[in-house]
Amino acid sequence: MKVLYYILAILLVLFIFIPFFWMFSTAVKPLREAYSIPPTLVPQDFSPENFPVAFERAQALRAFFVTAVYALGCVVLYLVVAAFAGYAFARYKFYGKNILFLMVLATLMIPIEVNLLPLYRLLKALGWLNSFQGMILPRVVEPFGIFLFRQHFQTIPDEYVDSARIDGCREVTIFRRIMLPMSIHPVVVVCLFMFLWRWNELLYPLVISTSNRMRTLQVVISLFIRERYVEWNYQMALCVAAIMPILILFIAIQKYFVQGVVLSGMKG
Amino acid sequence: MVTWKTRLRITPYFFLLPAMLLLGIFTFYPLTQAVRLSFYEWEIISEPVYSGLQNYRDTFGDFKFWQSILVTLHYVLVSVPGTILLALFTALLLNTKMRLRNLFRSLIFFPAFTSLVAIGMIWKYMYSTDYGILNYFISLLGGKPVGWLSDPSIALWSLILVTIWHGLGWNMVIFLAGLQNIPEGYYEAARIDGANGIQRFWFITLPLLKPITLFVVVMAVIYTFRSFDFVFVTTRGGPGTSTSLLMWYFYRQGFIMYRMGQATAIALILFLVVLMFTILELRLFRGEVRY
Repeated sequence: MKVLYYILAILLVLFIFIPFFWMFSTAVKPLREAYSIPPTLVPQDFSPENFPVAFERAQALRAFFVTAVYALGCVVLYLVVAAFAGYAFARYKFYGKNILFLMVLATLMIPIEVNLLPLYRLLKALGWLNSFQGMILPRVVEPFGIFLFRQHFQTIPDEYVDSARIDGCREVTIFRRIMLPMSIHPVVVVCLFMFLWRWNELLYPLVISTSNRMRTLQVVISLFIRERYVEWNYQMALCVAAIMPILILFIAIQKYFVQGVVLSGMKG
Repeated sequence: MVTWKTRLRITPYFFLLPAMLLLGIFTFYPLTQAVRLSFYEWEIISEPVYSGLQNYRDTFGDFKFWQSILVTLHYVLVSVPGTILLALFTALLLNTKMRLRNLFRSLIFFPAFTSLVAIGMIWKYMYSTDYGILNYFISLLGGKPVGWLSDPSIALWSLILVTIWHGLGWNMVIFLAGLQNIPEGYYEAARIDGANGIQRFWFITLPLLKPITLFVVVMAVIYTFRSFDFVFVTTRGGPGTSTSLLMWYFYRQGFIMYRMGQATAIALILFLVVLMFTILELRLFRGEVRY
């Protein structure tokens, strides 16, 4: 019985990992080897120069930079926006609270594709197409972080806040000095997931930033391909580059990946 | 000098201001515009012109739209159960005590976070009819090459396989969390009462996983209905219309045909279809998810 379990587990892992192995392997093969039959599982002619060549051809260095600014810009703003909003919903009573919370909840339902063309029009009117602010600002708000912070701040006992208020602390100071330092976990989860979403996103940047200089990595990769004859080794080198930051994060802080997924699941 | 009371009354609005500004300008305002634009004829260079229900008439009168609906339903109704059953199976398997369990979990979990573009690309390469690694293995076994992405009767199944491959890890982790929330005592009590493994699974594990399964199904349906990236990088709706998912149809009308008013109408229709499905699922399950 035990042996059967191991065999099944290993089959599943192989099913998941063969494509990745193949991607990494192809990324360091010369072109003729990428097309060779029979295929070589391990590169015979190790060619790490694929990376600079592919980056040069696809102008991927610029794209890497654009994607990083896009993703990190969203992360930084979102952290402020989500922590503030979650804090307000968790710790204050105020007029209109339920309606405002319902509005945040409702945005869960509104998919980006519905707003895509109106946003395109809006950004065009503002002259923000192909600009960082045009990419970032519309993509900053997601309900996930607001819910997460709200849940988290609700668990912090009132005593902390009360004593600070009696000492004459300003509300913002309470938030910054008392609340945030107790919130490392949600801060990391929220930043991480926002980063993952924006780093991997395709449709929105594909439509909003069309100039060569403002393309994100995912867009560049998806457009780099030419129909009949694809230079798969360069293509795979770009894919490896696109995955690398996430792989590094995954190895470094895997437990937050798990937490984020589980938290997203517990709200059901 | 502002009193403590007024300060408390104003502060929450201050904290909410950034979120509400952004939501108002970049979510709710565009939403009203989306509804409005769906009644306008709008091609990229021209200004939108009111055209009544024309966009909806064009869409519902378009054979390709109905094909996209069928393709999307096929895609969703196969890949969602496929993903969830495989994820449940994987979670059960990796919840048993075994060596390297955590390593196995991590390895299966990772693809959930890699970009769909990169994943679509590597599968496209593996699926290639002439030099793809899949057909190479098939030829080793003596089979004929398969047109994974070029045969209209197979292409959608190939996309479904990628979708399941990609969704497995995410859903597995949610199921694992659900499994770990079931108190060990239930199983011990059942064991004392003489329940065997299958009975324990059927009468304890499955019912207690139901709320989480409902959530997983709802999220997977919403997510899969809106699938775009794979099609964009692999088949672009082809061959023929065999993989023309609704999101692809939307993109094609909006950004290849430049019928942006109609595309907005399509997005709204897609939104309503997904909403309907979500309500239906909640209805179907709701009665059963109370203990």
